[in-house]
Amino acid sequence: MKILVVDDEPLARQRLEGLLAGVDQISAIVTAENGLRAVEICQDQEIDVVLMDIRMPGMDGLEAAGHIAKNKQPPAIIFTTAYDEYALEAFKVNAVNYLLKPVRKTDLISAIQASSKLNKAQLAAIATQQQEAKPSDDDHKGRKHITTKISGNIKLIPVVDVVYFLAEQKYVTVRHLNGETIIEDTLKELQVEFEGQFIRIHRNALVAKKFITGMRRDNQGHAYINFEVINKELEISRRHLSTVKQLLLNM
Amino acid sequence: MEAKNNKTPHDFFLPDFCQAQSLFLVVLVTELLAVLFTAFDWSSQASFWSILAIYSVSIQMVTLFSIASLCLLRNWLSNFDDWMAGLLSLSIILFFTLLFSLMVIVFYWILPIDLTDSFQLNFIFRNILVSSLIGAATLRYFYLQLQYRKQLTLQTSAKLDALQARIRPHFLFNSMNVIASLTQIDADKAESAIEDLSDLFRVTLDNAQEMIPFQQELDNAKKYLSLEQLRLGERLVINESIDKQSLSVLIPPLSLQPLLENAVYHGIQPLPEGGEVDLKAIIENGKLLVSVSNPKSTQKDHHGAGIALSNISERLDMLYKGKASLQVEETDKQYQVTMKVPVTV
Repeated sequence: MKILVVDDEPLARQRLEGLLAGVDQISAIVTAENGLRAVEICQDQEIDVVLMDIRMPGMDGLEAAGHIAKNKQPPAIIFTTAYDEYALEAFKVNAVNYLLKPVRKTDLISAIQASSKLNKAQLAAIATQQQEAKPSDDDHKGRKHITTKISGNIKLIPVVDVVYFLAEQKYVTVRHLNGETIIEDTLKELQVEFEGQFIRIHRNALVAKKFITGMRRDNQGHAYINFEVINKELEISRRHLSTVKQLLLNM
Repeated sequence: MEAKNNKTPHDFFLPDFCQAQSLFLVVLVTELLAVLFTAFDWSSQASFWSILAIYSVSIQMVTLFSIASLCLLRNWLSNFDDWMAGLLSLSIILFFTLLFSLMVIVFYWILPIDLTDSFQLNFIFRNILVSSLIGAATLRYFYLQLQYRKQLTLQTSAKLDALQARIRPHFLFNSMNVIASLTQIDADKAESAIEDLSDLFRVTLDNAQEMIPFQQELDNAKKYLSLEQLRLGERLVINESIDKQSLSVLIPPLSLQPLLENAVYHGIQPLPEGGEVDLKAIIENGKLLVSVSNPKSTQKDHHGAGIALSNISERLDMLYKGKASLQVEETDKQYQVTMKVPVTV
């Protein structure tokens, strides 16, 4: 059994490593100091169980767990936390595995033996409960990264790099600063999650407010939006025109 | 420390006279006044009861009309500051006093109003004087009563907040986890961590609010920082510049430590690379200036930062009666809190 220990504090990692060192079934222990690194490791290596701290700088444990769960063969995830009233509430309700720090050796071993994969429903339930519990402002709601799969491997795109999401037939395409990829989320979900950072300009397009530079009308009366970073225009539908205009006026 | 402009009718010093209870009390007190005046005025030739009747009717009239108006105008009056609202209320009382004095002249004495008549003038002047003195005293009493109630609630809630702000469960359990880890790796460090944690909790649980030298608060704060240093490792860098003169200045206990805790919790911890916390203490113009600054993370995680700050600020207010302050300066990248207290040694 291969275990990944994720924690931003060196001593907290060492403690878990120490507790796991003598356990028979465990063949290898890998460590990561933040969520982003954990997602990478889970892609490159076959990990069976992830011990994931919740509160970490950069990408926190909950978001990382969400990305990891999208792997083809995702590892089981056990959250570890010193104290996190909101998260614990959600864990209890959704039967998610968690351990309280300082972790007892017996608890740790039985949790690993009983560990099971997180399912999508559990993750979604935790995410919504977190959103409700934490009073956060509009600009920072939602994940910080979007997951996409490229030939079976998951890849992360920072939300701050996304210029727009475009729905084309079955898929949603993300146009970001370093290219374009297909993702599994729907425009509607994305719009709700990143409300405040993005604006809907068309039935098929959700656009990052901060990259918008202006709009243009052609002689047929169609309106288009243009961006500072990429040389492409997107059409604004008549239905969304007034909200887009409002935004441009306030910029 | 900011002026509370948007007060609710609840913090307004005038009681709600529309309530039966306050109405009853007012009528009762007014009647006592009438008895008092009658007692002064009564000579053996006249009937006590008829004098009392006249006093009762006239004083009750003035009071009832005044409190009816105050009841109706209470919401409007609460928009003004306390001074203005008090003056306006007093004017209302005086207006009714004047009105009823004139009515007495016209309808009871059946005389034309003639202000050159010294008897009439004297009558009006006396009434106004008496009612302004009693009115002002009553309003002042209401005002003081509200202040007293406010002070009481503030003290209780401050105590509760202080307790909650001091014992941060996150800090306790994370420190315990660090110590658990250290027992296997470095027993000496584990031992000193337990000592630091014990000292910190002793200060926290100590309810005495006596002032302590800045030196002592600084020592406590350093114990806290050394625990965080164990946890965060090189991600936490502390720069301190402490003016030696400041060490003997008296300050309230746990006034610096929560500022540092905020800086670590909201400034350093959310940054993957960590950052520097600057701690400065200087004496300037007879005041001790203690400032703590930390980098601001882009991650919005200001959960609870406000509680600790408002708690310290309230305590400073109570202890120094407005002569101390807590200022927050914020730029895009840096967050700085400065505490200013008058120097007392």
